[in-house]
Amino acid sequence: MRKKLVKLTTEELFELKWLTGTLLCLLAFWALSSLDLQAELHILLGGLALVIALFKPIWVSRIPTFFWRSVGFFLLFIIGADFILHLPEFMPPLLRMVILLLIYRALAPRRRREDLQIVLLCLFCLVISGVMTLSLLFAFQILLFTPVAMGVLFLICVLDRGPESRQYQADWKAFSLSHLIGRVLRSLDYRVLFLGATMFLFVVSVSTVLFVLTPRVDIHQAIPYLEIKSEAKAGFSENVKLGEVSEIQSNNSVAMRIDAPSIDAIEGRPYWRILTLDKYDRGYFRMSNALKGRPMRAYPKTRELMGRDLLDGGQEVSRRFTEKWTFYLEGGTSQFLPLPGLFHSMRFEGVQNLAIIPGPHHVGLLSVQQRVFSYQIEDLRWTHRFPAMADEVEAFSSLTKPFSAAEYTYPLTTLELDMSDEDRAFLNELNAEIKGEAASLDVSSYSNLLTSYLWKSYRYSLYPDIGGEGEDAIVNWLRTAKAGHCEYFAGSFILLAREAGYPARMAVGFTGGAWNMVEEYFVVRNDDAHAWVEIYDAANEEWLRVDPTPGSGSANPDVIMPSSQNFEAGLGAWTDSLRIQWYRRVVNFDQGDQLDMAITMKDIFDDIAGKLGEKASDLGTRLSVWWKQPFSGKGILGMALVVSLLVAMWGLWHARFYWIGIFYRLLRRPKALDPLRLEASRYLRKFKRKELGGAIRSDLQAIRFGPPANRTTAKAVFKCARNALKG
Amino acid sequence: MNSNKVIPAPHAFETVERLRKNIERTIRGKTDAVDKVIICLLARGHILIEDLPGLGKTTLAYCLARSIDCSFSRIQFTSDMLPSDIIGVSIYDEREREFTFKRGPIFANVVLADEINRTTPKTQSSLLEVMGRAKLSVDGQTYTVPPPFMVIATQNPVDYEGTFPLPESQMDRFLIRMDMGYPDFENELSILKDGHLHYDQLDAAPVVSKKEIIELQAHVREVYVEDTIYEYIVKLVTATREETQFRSGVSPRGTLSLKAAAQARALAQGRAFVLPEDVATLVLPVFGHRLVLRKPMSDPFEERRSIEGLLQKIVEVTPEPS
Repeated sequence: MRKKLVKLTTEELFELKWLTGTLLCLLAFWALSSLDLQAELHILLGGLALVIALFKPIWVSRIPTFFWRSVGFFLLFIIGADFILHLPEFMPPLLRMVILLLIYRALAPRRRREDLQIVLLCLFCLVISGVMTLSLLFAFQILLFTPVAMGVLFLICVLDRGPESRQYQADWKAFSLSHLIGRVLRSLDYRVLFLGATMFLFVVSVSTVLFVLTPRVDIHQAIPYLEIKSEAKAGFSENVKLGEVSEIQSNNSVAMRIDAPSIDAIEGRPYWRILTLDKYDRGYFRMSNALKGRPMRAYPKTRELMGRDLLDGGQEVSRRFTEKWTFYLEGGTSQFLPLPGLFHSMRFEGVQNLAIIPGPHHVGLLSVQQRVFSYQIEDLRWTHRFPAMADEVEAFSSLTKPFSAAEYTYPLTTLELDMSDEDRAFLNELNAEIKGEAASLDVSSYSNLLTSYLWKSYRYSLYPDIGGEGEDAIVNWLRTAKAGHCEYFAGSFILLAREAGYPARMAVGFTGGAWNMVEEYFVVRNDDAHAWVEIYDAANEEWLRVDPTPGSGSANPDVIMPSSQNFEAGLGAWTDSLRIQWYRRVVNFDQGDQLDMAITMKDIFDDIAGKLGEKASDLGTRLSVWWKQPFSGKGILGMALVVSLLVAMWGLWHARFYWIGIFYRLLRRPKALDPLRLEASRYLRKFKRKELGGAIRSDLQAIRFGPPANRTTAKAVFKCARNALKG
Repeated sequence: MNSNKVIPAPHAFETVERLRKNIERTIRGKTDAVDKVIICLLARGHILIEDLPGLGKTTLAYCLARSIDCSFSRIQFTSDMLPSDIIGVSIYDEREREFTFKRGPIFANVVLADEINRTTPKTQSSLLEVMGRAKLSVDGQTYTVPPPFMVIATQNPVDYEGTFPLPESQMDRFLIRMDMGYPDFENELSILKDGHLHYDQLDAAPVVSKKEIIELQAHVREVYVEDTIYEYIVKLVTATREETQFRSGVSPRGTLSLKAAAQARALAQGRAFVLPEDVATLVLPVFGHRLVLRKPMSDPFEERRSIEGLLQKIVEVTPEPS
C-alpha cells in the first residue's frame, strides 16, 4: 500500500516553527558552551529551560504576556549592570547578553520578527564561537545549523499570510511531541526530501568553494577586542607549585599536534620544552622577576622570528634543511610555546605580539590563547644542550657557591638555596655520599652519579608518599619518602646540584607523544606533561638537559638512548585526524598556502578531466582500428558482443512495461501500479490539461480503467497519444 | 480490446440509443431523467421519482414499458389499499374445487406505483418486498415476477397531508431517486402543439425486445471495474460516513448500488469499463435519498437541497483516480 501523505495543519506548522526555533537556540548554546565565558550557570539554566520548552511547550505558553513584558525591563537592567561591572572586558558581557536574549526570545511568545531575530542571534553565536575556538565542532555545528535555519525560514514564509497570521500563537492544547514528529515524518515525501537534500548540498558545496577561495583575514588582528582571556594550566605557568605538572598528567586530552616532515625527524624520546624556572622558593619553582621583565625579556611584534633572536649573542643559526614543522597548540595550554630546540626561523599566522626570553630560549605570547595557536618552524634541531648567555658565563665563572639570600638576581637565582641550615647540612651530607671520594667532578659525571643515586633510592609514582613535617617540601621528600613523581626527582636534583655548586634550573613541558598513523602527524597529550632539569656545564658554557626521573632514558646526560615511537591507530586516531585536517585547511601562514590549496583543487579537477578525455580518445582510436579491420578474430567477437548488447538493450526497452511491472509487483500492490495503467494515466492527465478528446482518449481510458490490456495494442495507443499531444 | 469480445459494448450503446430516442420522442428535453431511468433499468434497480403532479412521471413509465415491449401496470396508491390489491388474491374456484391465485397488478414488467406515500406502511412493505426479491409468496406458494421487472414509484414531495412517508430502510431499496423538473420553453411549446393528454393515446412502438433488455442486464454485471475505481467508490462512501452533518452514512447496500449504477451507465454509453466520471455523476441520484440530516429541516425541498450540496462537496473534494 502506498504511504499516504499527510497535510500538516496551520496549528501544527506553528508548533513546528516554535520547536525548530528552540532547537536553534539549543544549538547556539552548545556552541557557546565551548567558550570560557564565566557563564556556565546561564548556559546550564537556559539549556534546561529550553529542553523543557521543547518537551512541554504548554508550560511555557501558560506564562502570561505581561510577565514577559516586565522581564524585558529587568533583563535590560541586568545586562547594563554586567557591562558596567566588567568594563574593560567587552566580549564576555556581550556574549552573556546574547545568551540572556536567546533565553528570553526562545521562551517568550514569538512572532515573525522574533523568529528572524532568533535565527540571527544563533548565527552570531555560532560564528563567534567558531572564530574564537577555531574548533572542528564549528564546522559540524554550522552543518547542523544550516538545514534547521532553512527550515525555520521556510516555515516563516509558509505561515506568513498577512498581518493576522503574524499575530497567531500556537495553542498547544492537544500537543504531543511524538505525534507531531510522526505527522511531520508522514508529511515528508521522498521528492521533498530529495529537493531539500539537493539544496543543502548545493549550499554546502558553494560555501566550501567560497571558503577555500576567500582571502583569510586574521580576525584577532582586525578586531582586537574579540579576545577572551584564558588561563594557562598551572603547571606550565611562570609559577609552578610542586605537583602541578603532575596534575596536568591526569588529563588525557590532546595538548598539541605537530605536522612533522616525517616520523624519522622526531627524536626517539622528544622533549617539548615549554619553560624553564630558575628560582626555587620553598616548594615553588618560579621564573624570577628579572627574567619576567626587561631587559631580559624583549617584546617584539612580528610575523617571523629568526632563531638568532633567541640566542644571546645574536649568532646566526645556519639553515641546514628547509623542512617545516607546524605546531598546533590547543587553547588554554600555556602562554609559552613548546620548543624542542634551536631553529632557523619561526612563522606565525599573522603579526603577533610576542614575549621572548633569549637566554633560556623561550617564546611566549602576551596572554594565553583560548583557541588553537599555530606556528611553523623551519629547520628544527633537537637540542639537549642550550648555549648559555654571556652574563651567565661571567656570573658563574667567578662564583660557584650556593646562596641563601633572596636578593640575588638572575642568573645567580639558579644557585640560590633559601632554606634552613639544617636542611642544607642534610643536602651536603647526601652530596658527600653521592660523590664519594671524588673531589671535583665535571657536570656530566656528577649528574650521572646523582641520577643513579636517585634511581636507586626512590621509585617513580604519581602519588608520592610523604611523611614527616619538614620545612622544605623537597628536602622532606628526600628524607622520608620512597616514591615520587617527576617534579620531586627534578626538584631534588636541582637542590642537590646547587648545594654541590652547579647552577641548575627546572624545565617543564611534554615528553614523548605518539605518531598518528591515519594522517601522519605527531600527537602530544596532556598526560605527557613532564618536568626535568637543566644543569649548567661550565666547561662548554652550555645548559645540559638531565632527566632524573626513573625510566626516562639513561642516567648519563650525554648518552641519548634510542627509544621506539608510540603509535596511534584505530577509530580514535581517525577522529583526531579530522581535527588536524581541519587545522591544516583553516590555519594559513601566508596567502601562498591558500593559493596552493586552490591550485591543488584545480589540478585535481584538471587531472580527472584529462583522464576522462584520454579514456575517450583511447576508446575512439580503438574503435577506429576496429572499424578498419572488423573481421579479425577479436573484431568479430567484439562485433558480436556489441550486436548482442544492442539486441538485449532493445529487448529490454521493448519489454520495459513487463519489467517495470515485475519491479512494481515486487515493491507494492500489483494491480494499482500496473505500468500500462500508470502510463495511460500520465497521458490522460496531459490530455486533460490540453483539453484534448476523441477516440485516443477513450482508448487511453480503456487502458487505464478497463480490463488488463494487451501490451502491443497499448503501445500503439500510446504512440497515437504522443502524436496527438505533439499536435 | 479483449473486453469487447465478451461484452458487445457498441451494440449495447446502439440498443440503448434506440430506446432513448424512442422515449425522447414523447418525453421531450428530459435527457437526464431518461438516462437515469435507463440506467436504473439496466442495473435492475427501481426508481423513485419525486416531483409535483403533471410533470410526466406516468408518461415516462408508460413510454419505457412500451418501448421495451413489456407489460405495464399502474397502481394508484390510496390510504385504504390492502396488500392483496397489489399482489393479487387466492379465490376459491367452484368448478375446480381449489383455490386459484388471481394475480395482482404487480405481475407486470414495468410497474408504476403512483403516490406510494399515500398508502399504509403495510401495503408499502408488501410492494417493497417484491421489489427486493422479485418474488412473492402467497399461501405457501412462491411466484416469480417476470423479468425484466422494474418499479417506478412516484411521490409528491410537497403535499404531505395524510401521507405515510417511506422510512429510511425502504428508501434504501430504490436504486435512484430523481425529480423530473419543468420542461423548458421550446419543449413545452411542442408538447402543447401535439395536444396529447392521456398516455394510452401515445404511439410508442416497441423498439427493443424484452430479450435484448435481459441480455443487457446480464452484461451490466460484467462491466469491468478497476481497483482504483473501487477505491474511489469506497472513499466516497466513507466520506458520507465521516460527514458530521449526516445522521448516518451510506449503507453497504448503497455502495453496491453505486457500483451497479456506474456499471450500467458505462454500458449505456457503450463502454465495457467504468470511468471515474460514471461514479461521480451518479453519487447524487444514488446517495441522495439514503442520507438524512442530523438536524432535520421543516422544508423537504430545503433539506434535499442541503443534502445534495453536501454530497456535491464530497464529490469535489474526493480525488478522482486519474
